[in-house]
Amino acid sequence: MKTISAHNLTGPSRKSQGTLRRILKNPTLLGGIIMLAILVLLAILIPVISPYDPSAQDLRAFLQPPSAEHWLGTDQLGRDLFTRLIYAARTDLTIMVLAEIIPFCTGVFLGMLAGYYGKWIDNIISLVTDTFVAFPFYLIVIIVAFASGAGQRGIFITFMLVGWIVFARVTRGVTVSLRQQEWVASAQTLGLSGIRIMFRHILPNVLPQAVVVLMTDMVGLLVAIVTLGYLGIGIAPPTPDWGTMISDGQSFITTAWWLSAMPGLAVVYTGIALSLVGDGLADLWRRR
Amino acid sequence: MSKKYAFSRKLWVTGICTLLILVLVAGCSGGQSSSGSNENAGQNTNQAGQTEGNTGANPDQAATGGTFVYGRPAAVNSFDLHNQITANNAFAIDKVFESLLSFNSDGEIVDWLAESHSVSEDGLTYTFVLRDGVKFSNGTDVTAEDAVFSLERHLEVGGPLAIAAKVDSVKAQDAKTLVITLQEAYTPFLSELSNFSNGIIPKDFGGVSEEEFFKQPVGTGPFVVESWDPTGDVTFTKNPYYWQEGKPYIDKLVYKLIEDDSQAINQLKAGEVDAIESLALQNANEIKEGADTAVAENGSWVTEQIFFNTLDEHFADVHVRRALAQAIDREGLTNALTFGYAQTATSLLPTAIPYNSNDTVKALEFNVEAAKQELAQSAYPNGFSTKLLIASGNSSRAQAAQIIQAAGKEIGINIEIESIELAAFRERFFAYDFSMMINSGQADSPEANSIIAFQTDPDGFSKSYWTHYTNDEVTKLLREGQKTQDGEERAATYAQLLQILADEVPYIPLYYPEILKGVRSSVDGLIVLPNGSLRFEEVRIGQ
Repeated sequence: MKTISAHNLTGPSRKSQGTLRRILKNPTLLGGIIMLAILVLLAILIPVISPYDPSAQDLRAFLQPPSAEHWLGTDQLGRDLFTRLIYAARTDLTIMVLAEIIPFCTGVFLGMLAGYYGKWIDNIISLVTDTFVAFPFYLIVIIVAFASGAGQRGIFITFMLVGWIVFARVTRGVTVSLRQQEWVASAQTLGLSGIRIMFRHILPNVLPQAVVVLMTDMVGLLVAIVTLGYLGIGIAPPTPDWGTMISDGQSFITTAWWLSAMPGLAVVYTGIALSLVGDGLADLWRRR
Repeated sequence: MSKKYAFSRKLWVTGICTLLILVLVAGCSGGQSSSGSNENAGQNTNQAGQTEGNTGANPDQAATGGTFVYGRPAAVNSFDLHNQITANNAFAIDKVFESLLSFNSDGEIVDWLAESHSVSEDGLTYTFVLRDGVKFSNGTDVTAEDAVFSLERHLEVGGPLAIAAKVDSVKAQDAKTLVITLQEAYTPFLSELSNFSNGIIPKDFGGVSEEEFFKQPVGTGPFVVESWDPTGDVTFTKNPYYWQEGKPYIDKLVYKLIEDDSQAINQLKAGEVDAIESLALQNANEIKEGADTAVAENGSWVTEQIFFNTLDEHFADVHVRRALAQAIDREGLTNALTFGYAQTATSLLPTAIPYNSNDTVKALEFNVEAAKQELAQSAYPNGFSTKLLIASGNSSRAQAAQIIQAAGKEIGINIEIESIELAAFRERFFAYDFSMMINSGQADSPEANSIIAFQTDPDGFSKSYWTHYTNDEVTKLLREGQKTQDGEERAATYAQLLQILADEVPYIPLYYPEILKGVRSSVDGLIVLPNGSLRFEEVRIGQ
């Protein structure tokens, strides 16, 4: 891949104008951003949109088909499915974002460290990443979920453990190729410290790659959160979550298919949105 | 590099889409298989759609012979009738061994291997006269000596369904007459004798060792074990010497192990099995409405309940238990979870059990205000946090748990649902390591004492169903009920006992689920017993 020069970061105002135009010209990115924005807006505004409490049961109006009153019908305990669907987006997206932040930062940092300094630092970090890669991700997730008990904690712990690896690997690769560039050598001869070169000059060039990977990784994490919920070792009731909703609706797949299909579609929707954003960003930065 | 990540991104999207398509296809194919073979079912559908506990044989449409395949969730691992209690073994043992008495689909005690029985005035002497012409499956005649040997072995072994009566002696008066004397009256005795664990086996195991005998069991039942894998399937053939002439109509009966419930349903729809043992309430309508499947149902001896550990700091307080009982809308819960296949519970005893007193016992009614007031009288007027233990994999209980959680929240009790694997769940409650749990109580014979003793006797094996509930008045009434002869006095004793339980709520009876079996529409003459077992003697398999 063609590396991006650090020196084109000039004039902030002109740059942001250009970025906006480029985004508008990039349908993939624009589509992804719009899809995500709709979901996030809904998740924020749901208490205003829906008159229902996501946990409020009505045992005399259960398993109702979609109607004007209940847009997506009600579940087995008479809870409004649409309301739960969007509240579940809140739960799942929040966990997804929170669980990605720290692994992203540590991964990028360790990757740069390994790529820039090489030698024994690289050896150690690469050894650890390669070891973790050898384990299937879900195996680790399920072991940790059982060890730490069901719930959000398991998801966070697992991701602290393994989430950083993908970022470290990508960042390391890019950093290794950047290190051989002339401007790095000149920065070194000017006497700039390694840390400064890494954060001021290499980081801005590594970040786009890492962010693109972040989007993909978030889809994976979302699916993991939903899977754990489906298996009953994820988010505990009554907090709505797409995975538990899919599993609760499973018994009614032939009679009330929307109970499972809607949360499933929501996962697909979010996955597509994030993937589009990732693809779009990759395009954007490649063209620049 | 970017190519590689674009690829993995696409992989995710493709993966998710594939998954979705799979789900849709699974849904569609389910629909197709049930409507696709409409023509096969033909006239059978109507008549079998109404299959109830007892359908009459219909020789016009179905012939004798054939193999009946029954899908069951757990394997048969022992035929030792005196040492077993769980359904996986019990419902195989009762095909091979039979007792002096049995019960019909209404739960009434009937003479079985005994032609008649009589009980002396004082309730101490029981006399049974054996039927003529009853033979074991090896062709030898059944005598009173065999019955003496069987009951004495059971008394000696004890086992999980031990004979609770204080038996003084078991004697063969002549070849056909058996006399049992008791030290003190024990009214549930007849019903306990109808249990599979009091089946008759040949004297001295027919001359072989105990171990060999239970590998190749010989009994009077309608079926004989042909081959048996203790971790898999059992194949039975019909007993040529069966005392009910001409029966069973089928030649072979296969117990096929299908551990997964949804797989069992699929196999039933596909016609790979003729019936399935385990059918969840929420799947019942799907099977009932299927073109060539039907639901066989009967009232059960089961009560679904919430159990409190009365040693728990919170639930030791009767006001707390009463508050929670009043906070739960049991009728709504039954409605939402059982799809018309259950009755809301009032007393501890299911309606199919005599002396259930369901008409007179006053259970605490659903009333949130009253619940709050009740909690205000407890040691925790401002509420507290606790945990509700359930076994995972049971969707009705998972949903019930959420209803209870919401009900608790209304009155300030914060309930966390702890869902763990079935084996771990059993270990936990056997060790009293729970605050509250959802589980069910089941009678083994049509006797009030069967459930009541298991759930109120603090000195019994089950310690009041692991609630540790102890109430001297209840214990006294329990003993009285065991000694009082059948009649109004006994009814009054149980009514009083059940009312105390309803007031002190060591457990909240939620509903009495019906027994449901998924059956192919082509099957005729299947009898569903209220303990969950089936009689196959009159089964005919149509086309």
